[in-house]
Amino acid sequence: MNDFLLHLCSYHQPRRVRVIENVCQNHPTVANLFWAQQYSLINWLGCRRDLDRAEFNGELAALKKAGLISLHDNQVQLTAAGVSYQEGSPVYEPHFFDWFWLANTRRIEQRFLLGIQVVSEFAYRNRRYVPVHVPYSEQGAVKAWFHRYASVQLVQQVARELELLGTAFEGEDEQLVTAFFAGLVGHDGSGQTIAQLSQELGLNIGEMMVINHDALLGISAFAKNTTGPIARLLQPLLASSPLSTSCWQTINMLRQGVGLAAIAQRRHLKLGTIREHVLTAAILAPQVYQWEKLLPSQDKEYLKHKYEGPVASWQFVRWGDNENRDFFCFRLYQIIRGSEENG
Amino acid sequence: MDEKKIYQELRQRFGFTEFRDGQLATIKAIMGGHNTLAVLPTGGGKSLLYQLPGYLMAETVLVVSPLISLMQDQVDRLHRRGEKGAIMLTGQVYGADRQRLLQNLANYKFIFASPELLTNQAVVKALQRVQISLLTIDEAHCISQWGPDFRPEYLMLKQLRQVLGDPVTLMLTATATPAVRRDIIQKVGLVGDQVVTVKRSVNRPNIFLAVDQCQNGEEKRARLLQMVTQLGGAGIIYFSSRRLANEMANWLNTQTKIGVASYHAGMSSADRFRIQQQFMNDQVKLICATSAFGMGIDKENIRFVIHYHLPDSLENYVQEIGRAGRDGKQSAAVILYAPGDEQLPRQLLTVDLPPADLMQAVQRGKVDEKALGPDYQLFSFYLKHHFTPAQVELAFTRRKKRRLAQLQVMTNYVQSAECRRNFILRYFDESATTQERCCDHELADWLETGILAKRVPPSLKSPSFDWHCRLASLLNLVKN
Repeated sequence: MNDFLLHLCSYHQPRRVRVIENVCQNHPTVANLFWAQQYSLINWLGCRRDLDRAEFNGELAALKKAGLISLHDNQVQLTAAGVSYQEGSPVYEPHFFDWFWLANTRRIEQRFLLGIQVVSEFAYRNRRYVPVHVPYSEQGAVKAWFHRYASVQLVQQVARELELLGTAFEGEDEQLVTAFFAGLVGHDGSGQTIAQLSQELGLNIGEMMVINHDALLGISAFAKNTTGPIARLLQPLLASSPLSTSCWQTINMLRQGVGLAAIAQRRHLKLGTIREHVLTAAILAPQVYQWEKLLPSQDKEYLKHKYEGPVASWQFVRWGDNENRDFFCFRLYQIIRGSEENG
Repeated sequence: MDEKKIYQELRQRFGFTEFRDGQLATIKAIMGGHNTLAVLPTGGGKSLLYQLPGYLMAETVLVVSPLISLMQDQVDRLHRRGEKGAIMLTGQVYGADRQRLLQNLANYKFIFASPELLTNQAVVKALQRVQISLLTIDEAHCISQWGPDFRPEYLMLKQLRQVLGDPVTLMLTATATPAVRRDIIQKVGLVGDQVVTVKRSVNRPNIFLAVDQCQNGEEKRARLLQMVTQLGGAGIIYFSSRRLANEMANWLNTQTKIGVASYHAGMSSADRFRIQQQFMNDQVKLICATSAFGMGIDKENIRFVIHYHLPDSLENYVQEIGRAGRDGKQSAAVILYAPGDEQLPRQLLTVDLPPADLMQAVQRGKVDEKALGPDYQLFSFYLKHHFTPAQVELAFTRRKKRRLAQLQVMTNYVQSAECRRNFILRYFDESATTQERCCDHELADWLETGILAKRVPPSLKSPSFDWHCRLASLLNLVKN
């Protein structure tokens, strides 16, 4: 049984099954982001991009069968047995999940594995080998990187950087450094799979998946903060902020005092898209703007009187003649109060 | 073509001095400009049949292959030999990547493509710009087997051949009854007398054939454990689901000290790569797999193939067990059978046919194709290619009947008191044979008799992991 999804469930809070699935696969719609924030799962976004519906349902079914979760009305909740299970088994605490927005870890993994394999084979002066299977685009990127930087120094530089990375990982957790080095593909071996590592370390496969994702975010953070060959390999895959460029453009215009309708007009985008930018930014980068300024005072007053208690329990009911506008105000107010609730 | 030149290429490029049975005849036919159907047993070295002529011909070889794993394996093997001019064209390459690749096609000697992609106009146009000297259809039995209800794209190969200017065509398969052979030739758009057929027996005398009759699932597990503990060497165990492949790999790891791993399409490509390499290097001895594993796996010393679930046809079974004993040494193929096992493949054969009026509505563009159900792409393909709903229904009904008949043959095989080898030979329209170490009807206590070497338990536990050592060995560093 893969217990990965237990990490995303709570004993105290029933959680929407589809939100959890979307968090794993990284579908950052405003609704998913909002609920992910309510569940304190934002930094798990994209933790299992390859997870498909059948696999997800299968894992949930197995956890339910084992009595560790309950499923009602498309919501999942940890049972008392689930809590005891978690308390009784080793749980890995992620160290790099705050960097969830930095990169698509699936692409980082593909490019990094092939890059290191190429350097390893180069270190052994071997040209006849089977490259790790990655998409054509990653092959092209690694090829270009290698042709540009291949030299006697490259092996030494990569060795130094891996040593640094290893030391940093070891400082966080010994399992992290083991998983990282044991999984690498090279001339000396094709590395161990997640299933093999989980057996070797005596961990559940779900725990191993968490460690693997953590290591990939750790590598991404390393690439962001260094300038050596690993950074040159991976930097094209790194995002500069949790917000997209388009979202930033909207926020910057907002900061310059342009209204939402005017932004939509100037940018030739729908007002709905601009509102989505605002709500996304309010969740992922709450500090970049004073969001309350976007709520007209009478709407704010109305919402203040109408909605009380935990924001997750609020039900939207339109109050004016424009449902889309009302919903935007409602959601924004909900996000603002929600972040106060979460401290 | 001068035979000397062919032998010279064999020696220099592939490091062999002799051909296997059927190889030279096939290569000579191709080099003589003849369309060729080669029916050679699994492990007969089929990839050489297009690779060697490929090097002797000036232009490009296009290989149509049914599975990504199979293409990947062929490309890997070429890479291992230092051949960089091999590329895969599949649905996994798309957008700008695909465009770039199509622009650079002329740089490749061997292009492997899935049939789906060969229905794409941009791909076909790019291939037209490249001179294709040899069109190879690998696992050609799939044309007949997978046509109507799984891979309708195979039906388009005839047109592809025409638009590519009728290049010399090689059709490769290990298992084809006379009816399937005729079907392959016809679907590629050729007629029998235009095609040279090189056919060798499907029989693999070094593979012992057995069926283990069990009372129930529990007994099957126990027998499986007993077998893998006793049988020495590398083996593959086939399961019908990913979940079971995973569970059994875990279970066997807890019960034995053999290196066991699972392999299926649900794993990440990096993990699949790792397992394949570990299996090739004998670090992993036993693979619990779905049928995603093995087509094209060129490991010489696989000693046994066990089917935990009943295969759906004798053709597939012969293909899958053919992965054992490629080095010619004694090997074994076993089916673990419990009464009622045929129900699972019977269920898997069911395709829900949408109602005729719905198909018509989709064909007229009035309803979205997704309304056709989970297999909508399949039906949509036929409708887009001007099949009427009645024709689709007829094709699928006929197909289901045929597949049920194939499953019945498989059921007969496990229940038959006849020599298992002769059962297979009769099915493929070949003459009966006799041999020692033939099948469990001849040697009932084959497991105890020890036709395969016993497994030697690994003596040492792997040393504890030191990341500094791994780093040093990874990058060939001198340790201080």
